[in-house]
Amino acid sequence: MGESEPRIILEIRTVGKNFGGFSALQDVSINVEKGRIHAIIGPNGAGKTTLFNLISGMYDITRGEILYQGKRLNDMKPHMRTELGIGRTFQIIRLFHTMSVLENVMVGQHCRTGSGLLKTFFHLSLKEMDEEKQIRANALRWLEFVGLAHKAQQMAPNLPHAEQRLVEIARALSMEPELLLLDEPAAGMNPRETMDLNALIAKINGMGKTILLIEHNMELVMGISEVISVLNFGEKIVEGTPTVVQDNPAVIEAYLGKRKRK
Amino acid sequence: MIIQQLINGLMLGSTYSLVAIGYTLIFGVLGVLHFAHGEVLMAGAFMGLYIILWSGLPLYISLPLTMIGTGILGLVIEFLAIRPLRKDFHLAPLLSTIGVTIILQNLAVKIFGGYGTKFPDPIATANIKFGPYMISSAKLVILGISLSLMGILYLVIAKTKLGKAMRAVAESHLTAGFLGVNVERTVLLTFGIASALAGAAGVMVGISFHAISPFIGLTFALKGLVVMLLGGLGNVVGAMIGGLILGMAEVISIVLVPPEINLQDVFSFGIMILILISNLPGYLAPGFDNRKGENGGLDYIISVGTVAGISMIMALSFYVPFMTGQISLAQAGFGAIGAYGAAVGSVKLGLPYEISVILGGILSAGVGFLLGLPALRIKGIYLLLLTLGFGEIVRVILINIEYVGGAAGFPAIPYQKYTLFYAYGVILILIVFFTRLRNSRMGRAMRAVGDDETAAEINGINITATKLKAFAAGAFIAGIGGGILAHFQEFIEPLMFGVMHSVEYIVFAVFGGVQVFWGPIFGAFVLTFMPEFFRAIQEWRMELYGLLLIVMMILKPEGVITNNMVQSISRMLRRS
Repeated sequence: MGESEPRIILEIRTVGKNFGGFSALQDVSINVEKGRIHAIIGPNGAGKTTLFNLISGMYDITRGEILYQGKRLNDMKPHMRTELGIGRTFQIIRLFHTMSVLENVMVGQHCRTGSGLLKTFFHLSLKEMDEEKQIRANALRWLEFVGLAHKAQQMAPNLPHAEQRLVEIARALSMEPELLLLDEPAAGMNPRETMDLNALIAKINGMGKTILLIEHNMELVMGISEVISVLNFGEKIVEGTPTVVQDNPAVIEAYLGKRKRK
Repeated sequence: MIIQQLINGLMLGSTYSLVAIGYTLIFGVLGVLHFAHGEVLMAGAFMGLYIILWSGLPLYISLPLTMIGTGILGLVIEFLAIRPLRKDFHLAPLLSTIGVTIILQNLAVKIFGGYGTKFPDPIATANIKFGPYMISSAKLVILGISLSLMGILYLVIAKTKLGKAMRAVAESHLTAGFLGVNVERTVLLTFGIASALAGAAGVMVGISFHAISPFIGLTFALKGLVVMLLGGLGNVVGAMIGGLILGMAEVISIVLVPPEINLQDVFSFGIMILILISNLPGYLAPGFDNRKGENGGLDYIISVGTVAGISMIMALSFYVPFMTGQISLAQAGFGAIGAYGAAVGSVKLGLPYEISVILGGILSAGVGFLLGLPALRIKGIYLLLLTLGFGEIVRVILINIEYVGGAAGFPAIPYQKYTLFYAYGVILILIVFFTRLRNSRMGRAMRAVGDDETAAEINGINITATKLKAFAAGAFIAGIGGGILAHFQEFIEPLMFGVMHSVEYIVFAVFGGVQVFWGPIFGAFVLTFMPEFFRAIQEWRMELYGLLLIVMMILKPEGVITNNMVQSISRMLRRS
């Protein structure tokens, strides 16, 4: 008694998204609690990645609003949202292909550091050189965190798929986000790699970061999530703990035809 | 009078349409902007000229013969310069076709001379009375032929099996292949048809203008591109209508604007830039992303070395925006602004050399910033066209400004005898800059933007600011190069800063290697010095550049100097 209400870090308020005549999302409202692992599931085409794109700013919101820590995100450019503390990985891995693994992770710290073009040229302050060393050290730390420090110098596209995914996560972590959006991180991973991913997500959550997760791998989702929101045809049909969602007939019906329990 | 202008406009427009249709067909089936298409038109014009001249055959035989000729030329180009390319470097086809352009145009100048050639009159001209107006029958014939060709093409695309195959391949090579379409043959035939149409257009141009030159290729290429944008990429009917519209618009503009100002070309390029900037429905179709005297025998080396130095600066000016994924054909234009700015500073304002050159650079950077703003929303091919149009506009505007000499050029610029040192001094500064940039936050941000804009933005990079800064920086460097050039040549004229020069800088950078800044430096150095050492090559310098571009795209698109190479070399140096 007297337990304070957990803060809502992300508030999606009656959000709708239209692409021309096609309505991808209608009237979706989700509250994400700070510190939770919150999953978004649903059949293909339900609107999950669209929702992520609205949160990270790649698409404009047609109706409704999204609030992050109380701030309205609607007209904010993507890089500003990153600065606020929203990090993201993509369904298809988007590492920078002309850079090494380490350089990729170093890019993540862009918005947390400050040297610009002129300063680079004139090496105006030792501060800039120190900053560069700091960026490198931080990046190595995050690579160690995901277990890939030994591959720091390799060119990013040369790594196997699952490791590239980890590099992407390390890059997202180096942005120092409070809220981390993971879009199908387990895609293309074998069971062993998925287990490691499970542990990694738990570790990240353990640091106090809120995780919003899109996943098709039900074992991973049910195993690690605290809250699950189910989308179908652009609407939220069910929300609750894994047990609640698993047995819900509407959810089962939404997945009908796709019923292989992994 | 109006009717006559209308016919003129339609006639001009129909030639634009024929060219644009070719572009659109090729872009549709191959996703490639066939930069050399205009040169095919030029080839057709000359082919037609000589066929008519030597055989005396009437038009209804010589025209199809010419079309067959250019059709074959198109097939050859596809086979040699497009088919062997690796599919993973998306710039390869564009650069390869630029190579073809260089070869064709320079060969034509060698064979036919750089001046205009009179085109015979194969059509008996009679003046037809249309009510109170007199219309030349030749024009009607041309219009009739063009419209018929377009009509036939439309029927081919809509009603024949080949047309269906073309449409299928335009949607997806893979799917069309699965469905039993012979994709390679379809592409080949499309190329042939498009080139045949260009050949026909070439002959029409000859008949209507009464003269042709090896340089018409570029002009019509650009106009055709504008039309393609107007009508929508991959949209054949749009190209047909767009061409007619542009033709009429140009004719009207000539009528409305006083004849002293030659604004015709500015008009087309201006339209192109406006289209690109304004996101008109035009391209809804998806696709659908560098003296003399007391240096002993060293004079020659110094002279070439200076030119090489200036080339290196210009190649680097291309490299900066390239890092952020912006391919610019405007660098020669920026060079022009810097050159003229510096010249005005030295000659008209009496400023010292260094100040003039820097002012030229700043002026260029300012314009670069302004151009960079609309360029933000535009990528890939469109950006190439935007910058190309800009470069041409700069040149045309300079021709019309009497204060800086107009077409006659700006003479008597004070000679800077230490140009060599200034040039390499600038290069040294740039080397330091790029070295620092490589391992810096900004450098990574720029490369990130170049690799994947969306991912870069999610990583907190302000892509707008980054791209703008890069574009303006590239313009600044080009401006400095121009200023140094002006005080070395002592004389500048708008012709020295044409599109082909921008193309040269791209060749330097691409040949040298675009993975690391040493590439453009190496490329500019080698490609400037080599022709000097082999006198025999001098004459064929441009053709060889073109060939080089094609060969590089086929064999080694990443260029000579690669990231790996630089890293190995620096490792070796550190160990010793």
